[in-house]
Amino acid sequence: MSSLLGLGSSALGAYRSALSVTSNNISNVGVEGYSRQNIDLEQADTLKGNVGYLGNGVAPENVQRSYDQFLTRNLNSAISSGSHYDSYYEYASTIDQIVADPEVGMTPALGSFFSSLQDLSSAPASIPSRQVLHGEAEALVSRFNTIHQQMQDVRDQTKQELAAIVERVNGISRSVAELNARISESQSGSSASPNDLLDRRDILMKELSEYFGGLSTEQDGMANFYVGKGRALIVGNTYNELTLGNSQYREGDSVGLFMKQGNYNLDIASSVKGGRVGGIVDFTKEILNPAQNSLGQMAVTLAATLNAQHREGFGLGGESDTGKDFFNMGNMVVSEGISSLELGSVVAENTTSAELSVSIPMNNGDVVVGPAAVADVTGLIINGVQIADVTAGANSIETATNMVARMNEYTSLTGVTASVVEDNKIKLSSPETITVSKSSTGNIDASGMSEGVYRMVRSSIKNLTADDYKLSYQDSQYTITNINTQQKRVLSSDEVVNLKDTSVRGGLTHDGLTISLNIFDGDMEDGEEILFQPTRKAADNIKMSLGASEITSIAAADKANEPGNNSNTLAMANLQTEKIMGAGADGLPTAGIQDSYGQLVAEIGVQTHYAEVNRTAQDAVRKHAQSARDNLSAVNLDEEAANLMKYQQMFQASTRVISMADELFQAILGAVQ
Amino acid sequence: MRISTISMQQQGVDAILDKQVSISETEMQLATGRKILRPSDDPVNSSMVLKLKESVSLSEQYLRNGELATAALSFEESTLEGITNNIQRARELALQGMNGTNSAESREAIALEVQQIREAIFNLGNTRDEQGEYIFAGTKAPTAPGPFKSTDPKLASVVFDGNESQRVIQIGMDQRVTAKDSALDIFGKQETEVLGSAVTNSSQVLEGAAVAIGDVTGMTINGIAIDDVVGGTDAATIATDVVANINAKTGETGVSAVVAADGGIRLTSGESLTAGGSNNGDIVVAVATGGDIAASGIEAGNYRKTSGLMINGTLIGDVSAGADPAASADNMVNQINIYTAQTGVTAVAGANNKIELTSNDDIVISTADGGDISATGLKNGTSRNDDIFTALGSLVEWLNPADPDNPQIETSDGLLESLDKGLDRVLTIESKIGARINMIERHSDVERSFVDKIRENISDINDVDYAEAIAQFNLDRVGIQAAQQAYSKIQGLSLFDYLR
Repeated sequence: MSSLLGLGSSALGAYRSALSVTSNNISNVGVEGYSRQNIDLEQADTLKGNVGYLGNGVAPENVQRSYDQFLTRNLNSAISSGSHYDSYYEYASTIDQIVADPEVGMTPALGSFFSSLQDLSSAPASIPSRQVLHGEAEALVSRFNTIHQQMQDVRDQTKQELAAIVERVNGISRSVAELNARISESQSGSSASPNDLLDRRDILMKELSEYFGGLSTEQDGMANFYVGKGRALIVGNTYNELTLGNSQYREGDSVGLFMKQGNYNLDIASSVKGGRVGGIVDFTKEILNPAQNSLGQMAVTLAATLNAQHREGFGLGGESDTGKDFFNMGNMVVSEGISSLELGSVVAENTTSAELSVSIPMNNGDVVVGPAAVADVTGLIINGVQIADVTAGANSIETATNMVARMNEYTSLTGVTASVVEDNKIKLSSPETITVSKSSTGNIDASGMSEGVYRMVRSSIKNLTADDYKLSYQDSQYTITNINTQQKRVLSSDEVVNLKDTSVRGGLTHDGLTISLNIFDGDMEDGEEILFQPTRKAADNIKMSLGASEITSIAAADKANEPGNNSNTLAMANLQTEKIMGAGADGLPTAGIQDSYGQLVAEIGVQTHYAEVNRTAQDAVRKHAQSARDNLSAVNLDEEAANLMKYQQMFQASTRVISMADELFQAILGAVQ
Repeated sequence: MRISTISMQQQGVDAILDKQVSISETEMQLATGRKILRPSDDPVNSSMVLKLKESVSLSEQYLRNGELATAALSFEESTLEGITNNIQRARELALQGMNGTNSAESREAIALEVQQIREAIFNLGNTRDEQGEYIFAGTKAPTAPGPFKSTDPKLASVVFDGNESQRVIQIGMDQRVTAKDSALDIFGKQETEVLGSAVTNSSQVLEGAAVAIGDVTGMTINGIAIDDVVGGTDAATIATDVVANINAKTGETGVSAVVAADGGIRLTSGESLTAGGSNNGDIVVAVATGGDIAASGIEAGNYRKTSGLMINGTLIGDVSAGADPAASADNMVNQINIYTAQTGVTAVAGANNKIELTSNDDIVISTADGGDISATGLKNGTSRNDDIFTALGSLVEWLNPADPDNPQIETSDGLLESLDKGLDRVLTIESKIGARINMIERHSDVERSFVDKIRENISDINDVDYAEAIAQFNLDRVGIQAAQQAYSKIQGLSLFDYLR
């Protein structure tokens, strides 16, 4: 009898627990990340009685949650990928709108500027036309500045988002570590699982997956999370704090994401994949940096080539009204008649041992060589190479042609032209910088040489790229790396000598840049790197050089005192379609200014579109993973309703057992009295 | 297979949300009329549209340029018509005046009208366009009254203060058209070019010095004393030694010495010296006091190298002496050919050791500093003015001489020809202008049709097809309604409704 009561009450207890578990499920149906719980009911241990083994009732063993580690991990990884494409697409489409807008992008501004140049060519002396041109030029410059600023604003936004994420992630890491401690504590004694703590931990890990793509593992009941190249963010009950700071290159735009490792901070920014952070990092590298660089490259090319053409022309003010710049690129260093255009953004890891200066060479000359136009020309030295065999021709013009042919042979200069001017002098003009000298026994008249007309080296501008570069020193070798294409070039010893030559004409030429290193002593330190981003800030730096009061100096003519002459204007207007950038291996430029901008727009458009397609696809994957997890772990109200009914019946049945036991007892008592 | 309550809910909501996004996109397309709402919707077509728009704006600019060019050319054309009419009238008057039956008074009257025509053409030459530019001034901006100026109210001498540069306007990618013509092509050249000039040859090389057989002393070349000349038994040896010494002392290698017929030693130098200044080329031989070169033996040499001759601004070097004046003249012509490209120059030896140059083309002859061409020898060649003002002026002068006792134009020969030439010039330019205007017109037609085609392309890519979009919109609307209905129906189903 007593056992009957015992049986009954064990059943009662068990089914009451079952009912409370079911009620718990129903109450928590709306809680995010809740895994439904089941009660494990087992038979209680049997006792050997005199009629054999008699059951001992039911014993609730454990409350389990329906949980599949695989499904959860799948879901988290889908969330990481989804967030990656989400943030990439969000930022990329902002940039896409900025550059491709047909009303406020660069294209209409460039079009209006060149249009006003064409109008000026029809009426070169007209003051109103000049005012319009000046106005359009200012609008163009302002558009460059604005678009650069808009891109910079997007960059700032990404930094702000990263800062917010870092703070939140540190909070999550701390909470997960604490939970790990508590879970392992509660699991160490018994086999009961602290379901709510587990659920809470799962929710936190899910949120973490939104921010970082990473690997989560379980060890002794504690969840670990690794990011990037296997760096542990959370291990057991400890975690490594993240901070945001500048990358290894001080004052650069690159942001560093630092993880505390013992006593020092490791920059993991470049190795993070997935999650919003991965999306931001990829966006910056693939879209934002190239966009700002390309915009800068366009600004530099336009300003430098237009300035060069403008300097050759004459304004309305007569003989002296020439040689003026139209645009101002900032940092124009002029000395000894030589000018170089300094470009911005040099950032060094540590600048105590070296100073790098990067510029575009901007000088060359027309040099006038002395008489001896009809005799054989001897003693001419171009760029240090003796030009021999310059034979006389039938007249001066033929001699000049012979001189050019020999120059082609002996040096590799192909752009030099020679013409005959007064006093039988031969004038040499070259688009590249050349050094002309004479040997002591030559018959060139030394006094005939005069410094040439100041001009820009087009051969440099056309070689400029929109990439960032790195100069590094390791094991006595200097290497220049193009960061975007990862092309490396180890410098030969001659090139290193050029590199360290900081005189006005010195420096190493590479991809249209002149690089000179001002080493205070010896070499850079082993392992030191200097990053330079030549065109990054150029679109911000471009301004007008010719003021609104100087419009009479706009050089429309190619000769002095000829107000009706529009030749220089035509040459400037031609720059709209002339190919002046993107020189290939053969040195020939392949693109015009508007071509190169169009290419930028197309690339960004394609990347953004690709991101959107991926985002949509990933969204479907995520939804599928979520419902797979939910289908196992989430509550179904109808099911719980059925369970309620089921356990209620069982409970009622058990109460019946107790009341029956009580009746039996009463019957026995009644029988004994 | 099990599905949780949350999943069911979420699926229903997601379906509605998706439909909302879809219908909102379609709505935007309908409202803006654009198929491509963001560049990333269709990146390839977006960048193509950008490029096409650039083409359109470039073509429109060229069309605008073409219009401006046509306007300028038409203006010029009508001005030229005025000039043509005037010249034709002058021609009629010339014929009338050449009729021998005219009296002095009638000739005076005709002359008066011709003079008026001359003034009219002068004023037409100074025409300004609507921007105030002188259309015939080339690229200069002359002061009032215009490029054609005259200090004489009777226009006896007309000066042209413009230049021949023509303005070029770009009407297509590789198409340029000349919008202004050179006045000199229309009115004729007025500059007086020096065609020939006489060149004196004043040599400073001494020759024919009688040298005693003995040591030569006291000779200086270019200021350096030539001593150490050993006397010899015959002049030839001495001559050689002189040369050797000159080589040694002065470095001059181009000196040669021969024995002259009279026993003297003649020095000649054939090379130009590189002395860092103008080409001199002559050796100055001077006699130091006490030397034993007989002063009387020194006499002016024959034709020697000429230095300092400049043709059209180019210095003619190496004009070496010849054996006689004719040879020197030939050398001069050769050198002129070499140093300039002038092939039409001839030189003859004239009187008084002068060389006369004549040229088919206009050349400008001048002397360089330090040259040995005597300036006094230069005289103007026959000048050649064949401009219309001179032609008319000659006609006036012939009809009614300013000074009847001393008429400048004596015959009427060539007067009519000059007028005809003037007329031809203007008519040629007029026809050129006509051709150019036609060319611009044809080219503009091409550009216009190009622009239309491109605009069509852009519209095809960019603009929404309303029929298609509206159909899509309706579909989306039905979809969203279905999703909403389904959701509300499902939410109503619950087991709890059936529990007591």
